[in-house]
Amino acid sequence: MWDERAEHEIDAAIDRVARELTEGASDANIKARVLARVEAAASPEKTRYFGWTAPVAVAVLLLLAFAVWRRADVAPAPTVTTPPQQTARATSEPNADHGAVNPPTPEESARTPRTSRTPRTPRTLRPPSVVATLAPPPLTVDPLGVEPMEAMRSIQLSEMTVPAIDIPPLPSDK
Amino acid sequence: VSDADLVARARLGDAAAFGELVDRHRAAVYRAARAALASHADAEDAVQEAFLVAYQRLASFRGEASFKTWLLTIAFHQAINRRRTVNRWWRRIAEIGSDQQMEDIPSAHPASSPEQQAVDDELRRHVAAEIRALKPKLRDALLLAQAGEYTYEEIGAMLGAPLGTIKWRVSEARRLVKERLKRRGYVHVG
Repeated sequence: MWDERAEHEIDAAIDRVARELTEGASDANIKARVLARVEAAASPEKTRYFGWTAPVAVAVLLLLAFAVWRRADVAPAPTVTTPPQQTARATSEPNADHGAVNPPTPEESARTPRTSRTPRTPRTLRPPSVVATLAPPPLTVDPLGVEPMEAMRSIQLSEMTVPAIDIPPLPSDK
Repeated sequence: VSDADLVARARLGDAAAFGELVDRHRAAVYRAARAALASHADAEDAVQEAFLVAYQRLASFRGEASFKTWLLTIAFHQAINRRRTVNRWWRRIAEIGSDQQMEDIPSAHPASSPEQQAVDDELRRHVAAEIRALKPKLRDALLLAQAGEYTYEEIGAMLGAPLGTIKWRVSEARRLVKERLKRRGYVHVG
């Protein structure tokens, strides 16, 4: 067993050693060094203030580049214009392949929600896409040299005379 | 001039006011750092870092606790971060250095005779070794409590633990040190 004296001495030793372990003093120049570091940290304040703008600027540039690339990629391809006659015929004479519209099955109706048809807004003009710039130059075809035809003489038709047809009366029924 | 006044002036960019705060609290900050770090040089670096961080965060100081408590909390966290680094890379060297350092500390209570001096020195070495062998949570609480600079509330703020927990840690640390000394044969001290 620990006697009281031993207990007291051990307690005193623990107190003393624990205090000694944290004893000491910081350097007398600590204040000067801290203030120097504070000054040094404060001097590049402008750099730090504007420092954050660099990554933001890079991000904005990347977004702009992406947007331009995206718009160029989505630009409409050169459209093929169809003669108006064909269009008219296509609308007036639906053929068997494309024109025959079967009513949707119940499954299809369930899959595709019906949306009200709203007129599309006209597309705005866009700059030519990269693909368009890569297209070959348009072909130039010289006009064909066809001489004008002579004026046609009008066809003179003699007047037709139709003799009267005499129809005998029908015999009366008896 | 109160700490609050100096803080207000320092916030406005008055470096001299902050310098006055450094002068007032550097001893307490150093001991807090030293409680976590065995090396004097590491404690010095932690003190500098703590004051610099405190200056940079002055705007966030709301006065809910005293400036000293707030500063000590920053300092102890800086010291703990440094200790983690030290432990990771220099554990062996730090232990060897700290043992040598303990032997270099002159006794605060010189013994009356050379024999008593030798006994005391041996006891001090063993006590120091047992304190260092404690788990960090217990050791930090004991060293901060015995430093004589801080209230239990300040220690609680530094360690991020309630008052009751701090008191228990200090008591448990003492009990463990005594128990281990007993195993070393210190039954009949003196």
